[in-house]
Amino acid sequence: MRRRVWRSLARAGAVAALLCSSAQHAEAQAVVRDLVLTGGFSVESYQGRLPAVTVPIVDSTDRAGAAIGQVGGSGSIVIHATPESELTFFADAGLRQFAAQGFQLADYAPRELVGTSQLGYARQLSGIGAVDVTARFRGRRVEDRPPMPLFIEPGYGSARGSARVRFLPVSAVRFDAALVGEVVNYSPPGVAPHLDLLDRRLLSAEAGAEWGGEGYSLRFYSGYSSSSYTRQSSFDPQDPYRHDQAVRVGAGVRTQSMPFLASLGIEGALNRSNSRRPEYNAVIATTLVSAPLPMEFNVEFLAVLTAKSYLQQTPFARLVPGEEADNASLVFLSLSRPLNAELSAAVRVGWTRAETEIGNAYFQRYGATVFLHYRPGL
Amino acid sequence: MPVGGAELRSRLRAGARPCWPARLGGWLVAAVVVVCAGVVAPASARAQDAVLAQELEYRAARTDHEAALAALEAAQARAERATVEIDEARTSGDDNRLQRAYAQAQARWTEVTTQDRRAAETSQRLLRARRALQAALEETLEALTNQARTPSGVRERAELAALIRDRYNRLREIEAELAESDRETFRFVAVPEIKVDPRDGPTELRAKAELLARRAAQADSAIAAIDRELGELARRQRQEQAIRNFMAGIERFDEGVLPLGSPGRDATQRADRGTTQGPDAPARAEAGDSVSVQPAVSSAERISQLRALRSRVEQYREEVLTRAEDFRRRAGGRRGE
Repeated sequence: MRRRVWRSLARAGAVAALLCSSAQHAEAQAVVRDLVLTGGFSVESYQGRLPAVTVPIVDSTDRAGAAIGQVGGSGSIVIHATPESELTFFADAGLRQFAAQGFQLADYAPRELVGTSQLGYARQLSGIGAVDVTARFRGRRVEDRPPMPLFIEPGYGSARGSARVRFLPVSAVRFDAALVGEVVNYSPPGVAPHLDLLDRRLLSAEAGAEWGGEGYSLRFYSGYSSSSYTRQSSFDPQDPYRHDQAVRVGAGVRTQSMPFLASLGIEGALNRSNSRRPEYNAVIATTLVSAPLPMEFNVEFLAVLTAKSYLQQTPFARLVPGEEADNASLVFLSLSRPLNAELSAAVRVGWTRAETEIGNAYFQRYGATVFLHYRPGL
Repeated sequence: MPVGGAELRSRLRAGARPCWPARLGGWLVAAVVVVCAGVVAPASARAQDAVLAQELEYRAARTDHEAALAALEAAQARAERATVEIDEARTSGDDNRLQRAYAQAQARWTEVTTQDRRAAETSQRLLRARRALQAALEETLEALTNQARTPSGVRERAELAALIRDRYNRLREIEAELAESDRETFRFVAVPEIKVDPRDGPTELRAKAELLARRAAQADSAIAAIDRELGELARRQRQEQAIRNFMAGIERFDEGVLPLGSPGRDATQRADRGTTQGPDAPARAEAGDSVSVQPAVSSAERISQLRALRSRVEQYREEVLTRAEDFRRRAGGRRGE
């Protein structure tokens, strides 16, 4: 399964690269945009001796730490651009190596390898507005995955297609509509075949209305999504495989009065399923702020706070593989500064409080990372 | 007996049709003449044909170059007015007008650059034509000189002497033009409408110098405005890059994806829900992460455009100051006359 996923992702990447290459030769106008190479070093601490169904090994420690080195890069190529349309290829890849400490059973050295490629086409539609269409492929591989509490998202391959139309303003209101389809294929190691249970298909639609202009905007939106877990049982003989439907309603406000950028949002979600166990209601508040400081420093802040309540109380593991652990909170704060025209540095601290498979049981992660970002040729 | 050319012409004029031996004889004579002209015609005749061809090519190239220079001057005048408009817009405090002035100036200076390139091309073509004409003239002179050494009649010698003198004069003209073009490095010529008039006295020259100095001050002001805009854009670019780095750092290794959460819905995507654009939309669009045809120009591209504009305005300012200094010097010189 894993080989198949990686092969399909590699094929998709090769097709995209070939497309870029041929387009470059055909029009000789491809422009590389914002190529960034990143290196980083992190120190992280994890707390909470909690079982995890997706991690086959159990260790007796309730506190673990890790020193992490990472490298990554991203960039995009504008394959074709006119005042009315633009075709862009974006790629991002990274490698992260952990040196875990504090486990009783063994020394773990997990390694993550990730890659994303995206082909996007945007076009203005005369008399209608503008449309963005994207195809995104992402692959993730994890080796030597450790037990809890050092949680690392398992490996997977995903393909995602989306289309969004932004309509021309009607009485100063800008309407938009989006359609998203996604297929996610988890790649379980031999010792954890149940990760395959996470495989899912998603189809969602969203519509929104936005007011405001350059300095600020207010947007209300509503969406519906349908998720199919084709390998997960619903425990209902009449309808044996789990199928969820969710409705989201939210609002967001954005201020962009320079030099201050901020986005505040709140979303309510109702998740219903043919399996009663994962049915829940949730509220999610999101804040993203960016502001310049003296001496060319810049500060960024992201916070996502979630409250969730289940409709049914169950005595056993609630979030078996395939569940959305939305009842989590995370906060990241970053301070950055350019060192010269091509090099910038950032220090980021982060905190995560997330639910494991056992409902209402949480683990926490604290981390500090130093990044160096290199943008050649600026 | 072959029919001579004069006789043939008179017969034709009279409407008489020559008999076939006579016609055959006429063609034979013509053929012999043509063959002789090709084989034994003097080298000077062929060289003179080459001179004529090169002279035509040279005149065409010069006409093209003069047209390109005129167009360049017109483009420069328009660009200069657009630069002055930046200063006026900044003084008026109308930000929209200032932005329009930047865009207008950028377009006008781009036009100057295009026209400058066109003029450089025509200049190169003109140079090639000059050199080819020089070579043809030298060849002609050599052939005519050789021909003059052979014994000939007085009249023929006089004709040859006249031809040699004329070709030699033309060669000197072309060589002088070539020397001039070697010194010329296609210089940017600013403010074409303010020139020294032979009737200008010291007062007029000083007034023109003051006018030029005022233009230089306006250019200074425009450069300061561009610098402020560049500073603001650089700050905005730093911020966009910082946001992009921040988001990429979270998204790359799924740190925004919560345990067992959907890979398709991470925290950073939620942060974008506040708007179809998102607070980091310009940054993401620039990175190609979220494709959008708006805005048409990214911060990086805008900075690059403004830097090019600044360079042009600075060049213009230097040129104006040099011209003003020249006018003052002339004014001083004429006062002493």
